[in-house]
Amino acid sequence: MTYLDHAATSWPKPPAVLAAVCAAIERGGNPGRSGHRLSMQASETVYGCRENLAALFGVRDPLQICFTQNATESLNLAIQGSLAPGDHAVISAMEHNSVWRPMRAMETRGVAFSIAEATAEGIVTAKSVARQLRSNTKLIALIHASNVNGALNPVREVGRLARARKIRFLVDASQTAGAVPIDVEAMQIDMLAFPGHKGLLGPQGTGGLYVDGAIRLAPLKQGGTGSDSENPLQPELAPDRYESGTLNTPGIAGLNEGVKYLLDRGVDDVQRHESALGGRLLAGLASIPRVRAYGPASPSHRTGTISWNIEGRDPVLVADELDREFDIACRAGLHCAYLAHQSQGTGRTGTVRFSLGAYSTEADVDAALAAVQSIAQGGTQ
Amino acid sequence: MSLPVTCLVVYASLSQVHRVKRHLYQSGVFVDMVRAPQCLVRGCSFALRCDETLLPAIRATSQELAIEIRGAFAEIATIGYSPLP
Repeated sequence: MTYLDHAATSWPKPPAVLAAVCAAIERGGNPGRSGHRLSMQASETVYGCRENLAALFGVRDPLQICFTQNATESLNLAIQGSLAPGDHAVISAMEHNSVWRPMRAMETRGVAFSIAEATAEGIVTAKSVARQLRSNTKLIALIHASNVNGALNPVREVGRLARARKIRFLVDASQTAGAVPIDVEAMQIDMLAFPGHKGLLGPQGTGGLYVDGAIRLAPLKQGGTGSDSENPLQPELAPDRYESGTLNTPGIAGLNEGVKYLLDRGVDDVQRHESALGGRLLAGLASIPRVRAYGPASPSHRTGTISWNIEGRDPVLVADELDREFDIACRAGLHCAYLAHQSQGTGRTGTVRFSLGAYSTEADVDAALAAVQSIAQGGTQ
Repeated sequence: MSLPVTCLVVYASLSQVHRVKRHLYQSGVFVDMVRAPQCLVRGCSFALRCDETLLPAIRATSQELAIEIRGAFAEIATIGYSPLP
């Protein structure tokens, strides 16, 4: 199979990821609960993953990273934990439903929000964000790279703007964690939400949120943390405050191996790899009659996620044909990001999306281009 | 000659214990992690267990990392635990 759906979940995973998941299940132990060796070993694994994630994102204190089930939970924690009635927030026109929907829900609780527009290529400039700021703006939430068309946003500039105005800055790194270098200090990011199962190459059911040490969020859930048990209230300490209940230890063990792979290889190398393949894919799509690709033309302004359509063809049916006739896996439709599609003029039709990963090859790209060419020419039904 | 004394340094959470332990490890100092006995702290807590000669290093590392020590205790066979200053 030619797998071009890494924006949904990366596949295959490094063999060490699978081995670590199995080993954690075989070994057992609930981290941070009991004092026996199995429990302590499990907690060593969890802390090791925190430490490696901190190294990957330039976080000084690994305890500022809490584990979640996925980026959606991280974004909900950051948004719901930050905003109170009377507050205002700014999001962008390129956001995923995992930001848009929580913000719409917060509206019913007396929180207002504005949407910063994107350019025709899908990029949200700092100027566009600045135009939406109000005196009561407490949060700016920005997707680092679009899951629809791969457009990379100027996070560093928006971080500078947010810090100058003393506004909390949340970055959704669902499409960039492990694929684009991220340094929370240099980018002045206050909260970074990331999934474990995409660019970080871990299993599904893993994710996390970096929360700057000066920030104290209202937790999404309350319960057992293995600490401060006599206290009827949730502990103040991070990450315990945000991690009630037993963690996904096998998943985190696998995620740890994915992160170690990236630390060894270097995220900048992954970015170069995906950028080169993305350039090849974009150039190839541009050369096929009746095919239109969306998003930035320059590889330096985008990730390896590319949306496209064939004139007059339903993207879902095209993706189905790619799967059935050409053994190519990709995703079509609105990609849970209606706001972004609306902004880019594809809200009614949707698009077909190819997304590259750390293990993608030139052969994958060439197979995809040959298949698109064939479908666009009406070669298969 | 007095026998070496074993100490328990108690923290609020296991994550904190890990952080201090890892920093010590990177400096070549090796210590154990244990559940803190219920008689020392109410509720669930964890501790570093070490020879008393390592106590200054543990205190210094905790301070450097801004991690609060909830208590330091000497293990004494006859009476259990004795608080350390």
